[in-house]
Parts: sequence; structure tokens; C-alpha cells
Amino acid sequence: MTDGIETTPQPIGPGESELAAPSRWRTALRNPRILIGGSIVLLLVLVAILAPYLAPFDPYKIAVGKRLIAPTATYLFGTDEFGRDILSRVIYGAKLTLYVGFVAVGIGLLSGVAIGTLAGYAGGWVQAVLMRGIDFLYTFPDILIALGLVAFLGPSLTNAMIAVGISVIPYYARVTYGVVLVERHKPYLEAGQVIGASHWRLITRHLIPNIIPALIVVSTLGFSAAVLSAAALSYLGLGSQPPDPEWGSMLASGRNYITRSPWILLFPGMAIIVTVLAFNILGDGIRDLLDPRQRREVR
Amino acid sequence: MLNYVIRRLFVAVVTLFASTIAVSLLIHVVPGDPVMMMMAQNAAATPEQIEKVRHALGLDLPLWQQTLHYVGNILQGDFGRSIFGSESVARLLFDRLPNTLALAFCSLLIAVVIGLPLGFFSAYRQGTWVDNVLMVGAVLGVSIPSFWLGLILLLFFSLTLELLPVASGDYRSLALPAITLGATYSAIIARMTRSAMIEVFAEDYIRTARAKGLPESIVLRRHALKPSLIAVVTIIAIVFGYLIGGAVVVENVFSWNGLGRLALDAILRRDYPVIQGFILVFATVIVIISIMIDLAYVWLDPRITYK
Repeated sequence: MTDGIETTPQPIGPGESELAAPSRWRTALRNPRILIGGSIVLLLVLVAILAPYLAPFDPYKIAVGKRLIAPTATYLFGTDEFGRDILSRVIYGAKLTLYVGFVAVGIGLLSGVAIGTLAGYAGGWVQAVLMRGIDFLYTFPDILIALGLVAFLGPSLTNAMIAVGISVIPYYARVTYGVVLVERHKPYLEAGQVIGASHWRLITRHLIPNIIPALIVVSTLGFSAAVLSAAALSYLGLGSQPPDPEWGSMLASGRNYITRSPWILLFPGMAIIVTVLAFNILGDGIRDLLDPRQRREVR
Repeated sequence: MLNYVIRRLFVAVVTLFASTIAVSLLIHVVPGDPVMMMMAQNAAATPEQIEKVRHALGLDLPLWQQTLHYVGNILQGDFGRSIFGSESVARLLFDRLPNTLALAFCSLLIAVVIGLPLGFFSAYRQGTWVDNVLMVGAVLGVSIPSFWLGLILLLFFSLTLELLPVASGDYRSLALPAITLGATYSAIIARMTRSAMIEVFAEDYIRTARAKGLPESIVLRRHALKPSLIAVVTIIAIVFGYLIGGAVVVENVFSWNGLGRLALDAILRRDYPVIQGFILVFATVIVIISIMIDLAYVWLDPRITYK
């Protein structure tokens, strides 16, 4: 990843993100992974925003007489053990899932970038202390850190979101640290220092814009990981709580009915897979685009 | 070398010591009074009982004494007692640890047996349709949540075909959780192996070996094998770490009686001493794995020497 950034022409000074230029957009859309992954992500965002208009039924409405109806023309995805329309719940679930992913990645990214930049830029003992700690936390599986935090914060969607966000900080910190180390001794930063720019200005106006491409890649791939962790926590009953239509918790509450009504298992699971897959494909695509070395390998 | 091992062990001890302090402080992350949260499960608790629990956990002491108290007890092998039934936490944990390790090892075996050859082959045939198909499969594989795959397998095998018992204690009930975890992580192994092998195949010495006309089998065996082993060790170690995290989730899908189930029960009952013990056991397992990887590197790669 770092190689790609090194060999790409660098904007000097407060450069725009490399994705911003129009020609870049055209190149991006010619990449099938970006096109496919991006379209699905866009579709998911639309579904989430338009949920109240798209959902045929109230996702919370319990109807005893309509329990466990197999998919029909009225109930395309069938109904669950409380007679709720699964399609409507899956649609509303997109909203929850994207929200959770966004907040978790936001927490991880902001804290990780702060730690990684500080460590890479300051060097010396600051770097030694910060990165030693981050390296240790990095060896823990994310889900264990998240589980440990939820254990003490208490089970709820908000706490699961915070816990997942904190659990991925080491990942973003390490990536940022790696990229900052590459950038730190480049002429544009030294030039900035010579003309007397403050550290704050150098970091925010010059360094950060140059590491943004790498951050876009890791955040897109990280979005998938965050969605998976959050769904797992909800499945375990530690995240979203009933009756919220979160996909993981839908699977958990329907799991006793799966032999009789397998559609309860099928649709929320497919929703998770499609979401995670879309962000994975998009992330791989953006990485191809920004990393010429990788691109040569793929073609 | 000996010097390096000693220093590495020293770092490990310091790391575990720091983790113990962190874990002892974790109870203060609890919003509100942790003792009241724990006792909320037990409506009949009298104020005396509550004070007794508070005292037993050392939570009536100043913060620095609490930490000392906790670290001191851990050093003596005392992980405290469960709030419920007052069993020793150490006993609870070490009764379940073998089950989790058995699951993790079997899954790792499955994941490696499937993932390594596929990743290797994909890298070797890089850019061909085989590679493309395999990598589409792998990205799909890493996108499937393990608990969902587990439920699907459960549905098909235990309930429809009635081949395997759903939940009992014997080795057959290990099969489904191990296949679930193994399949999930084989996709990760395939992806990691592919990119590691692509790097190996791009090395100058591989090109030189081919250029001087060595048969491909010799190029692979004599020149590509050893550097790939280093990558493979790294991949296996990283995946083993992920895997024990994934095991916590999958154990609960299959009611496999391991640490993950113990931890989930403890979390839902707010049995904080058990949760603290669980985190420390995992920290120890992870520290041991990382020492083993470092030593494996020295053994495999003559360029790495530690003084």
C-alpha cells in the first residue's frame, strides 16, 4: 500500500484527495470491482435512507395470526416468529447496520489516525510507548476486545458500536503509522518546516491529505470487519436488543424456528453477506487503483 | 540466542503484568456501581451480602490498593470467585480451556488444509481464470459471518439429515463447529497465502533460478519453499489468533462447552471476576503464540539473528 503512495505523483502543499480529480473518477469506474462494489454500497445507502418508503409493512408490528408464513407475493421474505414482515425488517436493518458500521469505523479511524500520526511524526519515546501498546492490542482478535468491553459497558447497540470502534483502533493506528513513516522525511514536509510552518499546520494541511488514499482503502475494508463484529455481538445478545430489526439479532431470535421456517435464517444472513461483500469488493478495487504494484499483479 | 529468548520472555512477563493491571481497572468502566450491577440479578440480596461481595472483590479499598490486591492474587494463581455459586474462577476457566483449544486446533487444521493449497495455487496461476474464480470464492468466504454459516450447517446436518448430534460432549459434536470455523478462516488463509506467495514468486532469486533453466519443480522445492514457509508460519499464527476470537462466537452457536460459552454466560450475568479471568487467559495464550512465532522466524530464516 505504501509503495503505491510513494510512486504516485504527490500534490505539493494542501493537495486534494487523489480521488477528487475527474480523470480519477473515470479510471475508478473502469475498474469492475469499484463499479460492482460501489453500486451495491450505493444501493444499500439508498435502501437505508428510503427505508420508511420502501418497507411494505411496519417492521415492529406483531401479528399473532401471521406467524412464520413462508415467502409469498405479499410477504416476499416471509414472516418471523412474531408475524412481522421479514422484508421490512431487513430493509430497516440496513439503516442500523450502516449506522453501526459508520460510527464504529469513525471511532476507530479518528483515534487510530491520531495515535498513528502522533507516533510516526513525533518518533522517539512517544512512538516507542504508543506503538508498543498498539502492537500488543493488535495481536488480540477484534471481537475479543469488543466482547471484553461490552462485558463491562453492558449490552446495548450503542455500547456494541463503541466497543467495536475501540477494538479496531490498533488496526487504523498501525496503518497510519506505517504511511506516516514513509511520508515523514519527504521534501515537502522538510520544506514546510524550513519556511516555519507549525507542527499542527504541517500535520493537518500537508501530511494528512497525503495519507488519505491509504485511509480510504483501510476504512472501506474495515467497514466490512466492523459490520461483521457488530452483527456477531448482536447475535450473541450483546449488541442490538429485540425488537430492533438488526440482522444479527434477527438471526438470534429466529434460531429456534429454523427447521420449520428456514427463511428466517436465510434473508437476514444474505443481507449481512451482501453488505460485507460489497465493502470488501469496493475496498479491494480502490486498493488496486491506488497501488500500481498490486494492479500490475492483478492484470 | 539464549539472550534473545530471555529478553523475549521478560517482555512477555511485563506485557502480562500490564494486562493484569488493565484488567483490574476494567471493572471501573462499568457505568454505575459494579457491585450493584452484579447483585441486580439477585433481588433477594441483603445490604450485608452486597458489602460482602464488595469486600471480597476488594472494591472497598482505594484504587491503587485494589490494583495491588488483584495483581497480588493473580500472581498467587487466585483469579477470585464467581459471584454465582462462588466457584473458583481459575477452576472454571481451566476446565473449559481444553475444549476451546481442541476446537481451535481442529479448525486451524481444516483451515490450513483447505486454504494453503488454494492460496498457493492461485498465486502460482496468478491472473488466470482459476485465480480469478478462487479469489472470488475467497472474498465471498471472508464475507460470510461464521455464526450464520454455523446455523446453516446445523440446519442441514443435525436437523435435516440427523447425522451428528446437535449438542453433546463427545468428539463428534466437535465436527460441526470445527468445520464452520475452519471453512470461515480457510478463505482468509487463501487470501493471505496468495499475496505472500506472489511476493515470493516475484523475488529476483526465483527469476534467476528460472532463467538459468532449472526445472520448475526444483525452482519450487529448492528456492520457493523456504521463504514461503516463513510466510506460512506468520499466516498460521495470525489466523490462530483470529480463530480463538471466532471460536468464542461459534461455541455459542453449537453450545460447545468452551471458554466462549463460559464468557458469554458470565457477561449476560455480569459475573465480572469470571470475565476478567477469561480476558487474562486469552492474553496469556496470545502472548505465548507471539513468542512461538518469533522463535520460529529465527529457526526458519537464517538472515534473522537476534543478539
